[in-house]
Amino acid sequence: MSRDVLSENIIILKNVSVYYNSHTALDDINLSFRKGEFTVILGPNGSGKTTLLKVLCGLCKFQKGSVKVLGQTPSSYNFLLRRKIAHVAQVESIDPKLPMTVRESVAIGRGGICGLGKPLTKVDWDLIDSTIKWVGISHLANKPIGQISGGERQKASIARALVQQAPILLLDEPTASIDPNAQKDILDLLEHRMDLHRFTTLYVTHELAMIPNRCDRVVMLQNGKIWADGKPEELLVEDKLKDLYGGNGFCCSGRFGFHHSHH
Amino acid sequence: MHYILGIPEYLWLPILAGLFSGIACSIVGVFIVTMHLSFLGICIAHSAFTGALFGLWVGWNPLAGAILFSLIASAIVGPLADRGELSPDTSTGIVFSTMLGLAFLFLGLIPGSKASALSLFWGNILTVTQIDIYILAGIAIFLLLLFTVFYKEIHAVLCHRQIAMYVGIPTALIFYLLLIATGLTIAVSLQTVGGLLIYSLLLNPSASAHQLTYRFKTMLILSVLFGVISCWGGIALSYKYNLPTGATIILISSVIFILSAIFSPKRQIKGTKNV
Repeated sequence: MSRDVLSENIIILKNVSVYYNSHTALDDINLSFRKGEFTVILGPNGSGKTTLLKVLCGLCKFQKGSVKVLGQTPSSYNFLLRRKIAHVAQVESIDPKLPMTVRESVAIGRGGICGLGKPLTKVDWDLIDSTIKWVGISHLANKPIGQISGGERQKASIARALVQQAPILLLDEPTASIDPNAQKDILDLLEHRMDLHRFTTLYVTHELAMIPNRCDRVVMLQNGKIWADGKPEELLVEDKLKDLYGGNGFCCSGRFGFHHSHH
Repeated sequence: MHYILGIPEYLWLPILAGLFSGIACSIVGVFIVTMHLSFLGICIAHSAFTGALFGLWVGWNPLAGAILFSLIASAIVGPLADRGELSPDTSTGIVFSTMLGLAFLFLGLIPGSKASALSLFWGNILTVTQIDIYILAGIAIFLLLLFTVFYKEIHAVLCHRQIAMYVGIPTALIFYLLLIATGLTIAVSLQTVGGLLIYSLLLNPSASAHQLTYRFKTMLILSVLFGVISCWGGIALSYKYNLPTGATIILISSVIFILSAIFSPKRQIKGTKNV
């Protein structure tokens, strides 16, 4: 989808600043994201990427500025807004003895949207089962969630985000800490999904090889400020990336498949 | 002696107390065990005990003091742990030690004989009254309703609290409801098994159930079953062999845990799986 046909802004941040004690996590950020736009957010550790996503979910307070997501101001009490924002974080270690199956873990994605105290319906479970099948883990559906691999758990996380049927998808380093094959599977799933339906997606990553070919925009953050904001073909180039990450230890070989395949 | 269904009439109130205590403590125990909040359970148990001593000192019903103090402890520990300024263990430890200090202070301040205060240490299920049964039944029914109506939310919060928050489940509301339910359960069960022993009845049945299944629903049912078996078994054995009832209840729940750990299908899994 070209940027020109993308419609109205559904996420708007104006002069947003976030402070953790004396540390400035976001510094006077002005950004807006259009409906259906796929944006990759890059930046070194501590540049404010995850903070930006948390602000949009209402799970991080901003001290200055204004934020509108789907016309609402996010806050920790705004559960209704969070139900319209799907979120996939990086895979974490969990208790292998946790009393929860993969299917139940995916079902949490419907937990908010179907309402407090209301059980999931057959329609919900059908959606959950078909999505589990779509991400390719239906053979694991009844296994304990703590006993599947990191890559499989990340597929379950994507299934959970998809069953939420939210218009906004936030991906916070979803391919971190999993092996290259699983990373490729996750990327394929994301690209395939983008073919079927365009969410407004903000994708935080450090792995340049994991950037989908069809992304519309790249935002680069450094020290809590917007360092660059533009088209992928302009920003995902070696010089820019070396400047963004400081150059030291930055390895560029084999990482720019995106840039070439985009054209 | 008058018998009903072959059981001495005076044992019926303890049997009902065992049923409702077993249900309530086991359900709350699932919350404590699944969220790894064992220390919080100890803290609230001791707070309830302190509150009961406070009640005796100021001339209240000990139950009122127990409820008040366990709710105060829940209200302090939960937000402190949630805000992340202190680790949950540190904040719980501070409240726990403060409550223990207050317990000894109130024990010293209670005028006259300390017998009624000391009986709160080990409780006595054989002396429960009809009013106690109504209260215990009330809390057991409240917990059953809570876990039935909010089953999907509670399951999500207990197993994936962070994810539950992201999908728009009001996790703080669910967590604090469970904390309050824990405080109330401990307070009203104080007389049944005592301030020192109640912690075992909270932990052992649910920890046993946790050993045996990966299904949350099955864990809840097994936990309740083990809790009630412990209480009824304890009453039966103490009646037959003239043993202290509270201690017998706890020892039976410990035996159930040992057997569950031995036969657990989860035994081969050690520690958290690396990813």
